[in-house]
Amino acid sequence: MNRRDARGAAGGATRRDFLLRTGLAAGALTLGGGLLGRVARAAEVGDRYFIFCYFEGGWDSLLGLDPRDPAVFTEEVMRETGIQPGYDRLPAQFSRRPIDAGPFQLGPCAAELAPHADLFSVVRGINMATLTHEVGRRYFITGRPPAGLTARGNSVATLCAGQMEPDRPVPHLAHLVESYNLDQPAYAAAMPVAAVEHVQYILQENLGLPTNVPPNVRGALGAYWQKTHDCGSASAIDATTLAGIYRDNRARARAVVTSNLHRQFQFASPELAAVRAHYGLDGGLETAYGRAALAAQALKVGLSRVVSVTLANALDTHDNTWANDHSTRLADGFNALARLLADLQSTEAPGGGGSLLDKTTIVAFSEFQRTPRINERNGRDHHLGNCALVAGGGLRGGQVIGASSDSAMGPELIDLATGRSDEGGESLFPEHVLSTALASAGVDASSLRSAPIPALLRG
Amino acid sequence: MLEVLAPTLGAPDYLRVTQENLEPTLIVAKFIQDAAFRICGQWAQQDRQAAAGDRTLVREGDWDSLEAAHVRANLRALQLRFYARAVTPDDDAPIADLVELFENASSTAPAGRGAQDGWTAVCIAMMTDPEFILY
Repeated sequence: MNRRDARGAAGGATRRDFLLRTGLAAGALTLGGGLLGRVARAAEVGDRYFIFCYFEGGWDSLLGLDPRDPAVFTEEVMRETGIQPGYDRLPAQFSRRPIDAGPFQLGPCAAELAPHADLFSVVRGINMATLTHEVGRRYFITGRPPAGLTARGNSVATLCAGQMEPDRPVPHLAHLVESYNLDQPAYAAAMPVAAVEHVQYILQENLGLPTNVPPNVRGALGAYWQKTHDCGSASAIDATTLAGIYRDNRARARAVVTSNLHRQFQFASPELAAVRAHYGLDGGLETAYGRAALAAQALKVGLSRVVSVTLANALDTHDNTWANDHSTRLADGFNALARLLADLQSTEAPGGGGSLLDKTTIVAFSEFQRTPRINERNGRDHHLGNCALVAGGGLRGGQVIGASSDSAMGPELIDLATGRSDEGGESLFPEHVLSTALASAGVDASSLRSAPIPALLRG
Repeated sequence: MLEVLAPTLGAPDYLRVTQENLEPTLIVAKFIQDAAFRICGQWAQQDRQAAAGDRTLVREGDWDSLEAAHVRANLRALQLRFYARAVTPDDDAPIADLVELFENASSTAPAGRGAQDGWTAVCIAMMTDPEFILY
């Protein structure tokens, strides 16, 4: 008996049940099987969590997930290979050689990830078919090629949130990552935050400032809101879809306030000293480490089930800022990701049954990778290829799927069944990565129109 | 504080975000609720002390009156003020829920605060109503 059956047998009906029933009555005729299908699937994704980590600006895969050995790819053979690792140009703290992570190698900026290589897999040779930031970003966020610059479809994070029970005050939290809700329930839309520090304020009534509304007024309003939420009013505006979305969000806004979770995001407080120490938050909150801590904390304390977070900014380095700035920002992003993996692995899942990492799916991505050759301005430009990192319950760790060629790092064709290069195979696209990640967690990814990669799925 | 939080509330920075988000998202709903909680108590307090002709919340009759006809007349006036909707004196349906809210809040208030708590509750309810946000 699944959770939905169990609740029905007990005679209980949740607000979601009500919304679904009324949604069916109001919308089934116009939306047809799509809505019915979604409702039927909604409760099938059980106790799961998702973190989508965005590296903004186009990352250098040679420095991260798809390295090359400078002893092989030398300046002398660069005309033939078109690949220039450039590790000797990086600041002194970085290795001059790829890092041996065991099952695969990583670039100098991903050194802190290496000890966790058994927890994640790397997907290489992804074909982005674009050199435009917005297009690549929205392609990886939605799993569907945009129409021009316009995203098509839901963001995958929204899709995940929409297929789970809205049993968290903020089911989907997004820190500086775009999100799109095309046809998912209102609760699946992301609550966007522009800074880690803002979360503690927006979780409090009146942003933490005092109000003079007495308890009897609050009590009367609670009853009034419940009545008008359930029954609506007779006005024309109140019957519209937008009003329904707003009313649902109004109820969630009250749940946010009454959850009293804001203290769990006051990272300077003595209670969160261990979090500060683990992530290294002394340098401030608006860093890769602060954002990783936000993502972990949102899951751990029960604020959200889906978090999208930007772990690195300003990676679009076409000039001589590449050597210092790109490498440092990329390393910070990967280091934060490594600490996030370790944190989730050492944390018991809120519902028990293993570590939080076992119940979490993590996807780290960028809009594309940078050119393997360093340009005449000592930077790197946009490249059609890409790579990604996936981790979490249901996904195998320590795997490399796909490949970039040793000639200009072009995406190679692969056998999607094995994940290995195959001249008669197919191109690997973002939707393959995303549908695999979603399938590993039981989320219906049929809207992505792509089969998952079996070699990445556990069991 | 609001200026600090503006990016989170959806204000465009014209670099990364070039369009103002106008969807009634969770953050909008939360912000409207915060604004109503902050404003309505003060509004009721100031309105009660204002001269009869300067009142904007309780325009009709004795401010502290809990009498049903007085409450209904003011609720009709507030429907016009908040939603631009004229409610005729013989039509009680559009204000029925608000009448109940006023009575709940005022009947549980400490002595002497019945009207103030009642109108504060009505103000918050009307400010956080979809009709006010979307009209």
